[in-house]
Amino acid sequence: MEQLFQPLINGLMAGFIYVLVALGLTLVFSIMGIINFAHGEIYMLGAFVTYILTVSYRVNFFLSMVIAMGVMILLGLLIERIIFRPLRGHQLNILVISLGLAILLQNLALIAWGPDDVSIPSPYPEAIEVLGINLSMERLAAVVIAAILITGLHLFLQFSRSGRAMRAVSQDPEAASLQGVPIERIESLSFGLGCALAAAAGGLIGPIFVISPFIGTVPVMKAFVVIILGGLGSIPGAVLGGIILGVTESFSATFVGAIFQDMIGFFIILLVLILKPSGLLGYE
Amino acid sequence: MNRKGIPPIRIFSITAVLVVLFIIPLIIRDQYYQHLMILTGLAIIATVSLNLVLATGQLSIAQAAFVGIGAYCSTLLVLKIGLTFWLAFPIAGAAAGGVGVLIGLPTLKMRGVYFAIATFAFGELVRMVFTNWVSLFGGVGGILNIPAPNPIPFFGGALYFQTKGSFYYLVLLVMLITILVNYRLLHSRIGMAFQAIEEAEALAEQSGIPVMKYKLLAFLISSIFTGLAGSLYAHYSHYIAPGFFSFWESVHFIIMAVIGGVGTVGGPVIGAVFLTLLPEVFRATKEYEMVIYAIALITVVLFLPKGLMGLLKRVTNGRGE
Repeated sequence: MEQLFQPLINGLMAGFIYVLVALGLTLVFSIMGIINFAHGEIYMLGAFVTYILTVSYRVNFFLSMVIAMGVMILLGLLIERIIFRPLRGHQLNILVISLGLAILLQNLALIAWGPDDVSIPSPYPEAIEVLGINLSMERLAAVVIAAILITGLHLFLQFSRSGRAMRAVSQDPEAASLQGVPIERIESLSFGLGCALAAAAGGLIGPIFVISPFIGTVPVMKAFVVIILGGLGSIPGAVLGGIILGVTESFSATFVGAIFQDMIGFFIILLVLILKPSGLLGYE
Repeated sequence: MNRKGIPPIRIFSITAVLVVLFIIPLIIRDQYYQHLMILTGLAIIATVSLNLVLATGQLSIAQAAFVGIGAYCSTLLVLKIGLTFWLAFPIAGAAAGGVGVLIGLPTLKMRGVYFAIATFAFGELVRMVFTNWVSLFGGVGGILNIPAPNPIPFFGGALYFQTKGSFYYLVLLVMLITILVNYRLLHSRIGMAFQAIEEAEALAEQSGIPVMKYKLLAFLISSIFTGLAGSLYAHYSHYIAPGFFSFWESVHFIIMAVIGGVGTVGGPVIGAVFLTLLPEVFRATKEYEMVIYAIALITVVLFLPKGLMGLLKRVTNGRGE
């Protein structure tokens, strides 16, 4: 039982973190039609802001995370306005500039905080025992908080006025514009929201893994797997894809070998793209 | 395009550039600068090849993987089978081309970000195979002691390739062939078909252009030359490791092509030269080197959408192709 339960919890935790990062990417893609390679650096900066607030200023961990999300929304809005908006419609150039941005943010972080790993001290009590299995609170809390954020995003998109406008733009920008939806405001909003989710993911992993300027690359790669698997632009698809990837990786690391943990995702991308490019829940 | 022959001024400037390229290692004897010239030449081969795929409207993030395939292929042929470099070199190009066709067939149907992500996944898979198949590819540590190309007889004497000065001429030759092939191709009917595909694929298909065939052709030729660059790199640096062929390396080639200007042959050449030498200029700034590099990149993309080549064209008042 424990042999299955531990990898399951680890897999779910990793999966929900992937989902948080992937949601921002897929949201921005569905609204703006662009892939932002610097998204992982927002995640990294979110982790650092949370770390600095909790460790240097002794702010409560959860409050720090909320502040980090706010700071990253502001940074996201700035980036969207200065860098992405002028290049609207030039897919190749947007891709390249987002790569440049990733290099820039990574190296600025390197100058500011150095290459060493740091970690946020755990804000939670000791591990708890459920059915004879030790559950680390950090991992459990990461799953719960991520689930709350994902549900929040779903409710926002489903029921709020701005959320409905975002869905309208993702389906047909021209029709939405004719109905009076302010496209540029909606684009900024989606970009900011995506950054907030990435920052939250960064904060959540702080007490579990280490933080360094280079941690942004891997989650973004995983997020690509997730959104391709679930269907590019599909929010429920990203959630499903993230959980599938996290759990599959965790089980293959436990039962097959760690080598395959990293390779499995890229096999999934190629297979899905070749066999069913719209993914599990995407529309053609 | 003019079919009535090349204007004399063009012939003159091309000859001048060629002469400079041939005598430059005789003048600049500094080993480090010669090293930079070789790296620039290799970057030009890879970037000009990438440009061919970009010219059909497909963004490939697997360029470094093809460099790696060429590098490992010719290294293994020489070290494990004992083949001479002069046989391993073309086989490495053919192998990269073969893999290009295999991966191109299922993926080139995809467009936009889908193709980009598919090639990205392929590139990472290739790197992981290099990393994890330790018995064949040597693992993370890579392969050491790769020999320089064997000497070849030359007018009674022999040409050696151990020194940087001599290896430079080998790279220069392959580079010039790459540029020539790409130039002729882009300025032929096939090149016009590429352009039609890039601008409006559906329309090109309807006007009878075999879109898939042309995309595959571009990908094949691009992979072959990229594989050749990889082989040259392996036998020049004598050492290869999976880390040299990562996602970020592929990104580097894309950045070179876009900074220079996609679509022409001149653009990627300028981009490769500019971005190989730019970090040298900023080396003194130490930890800010990459920051300046990134800011330069962002500025060029923001303000020069057609790259440095576009700027050059504007300055020279739209002359030249």
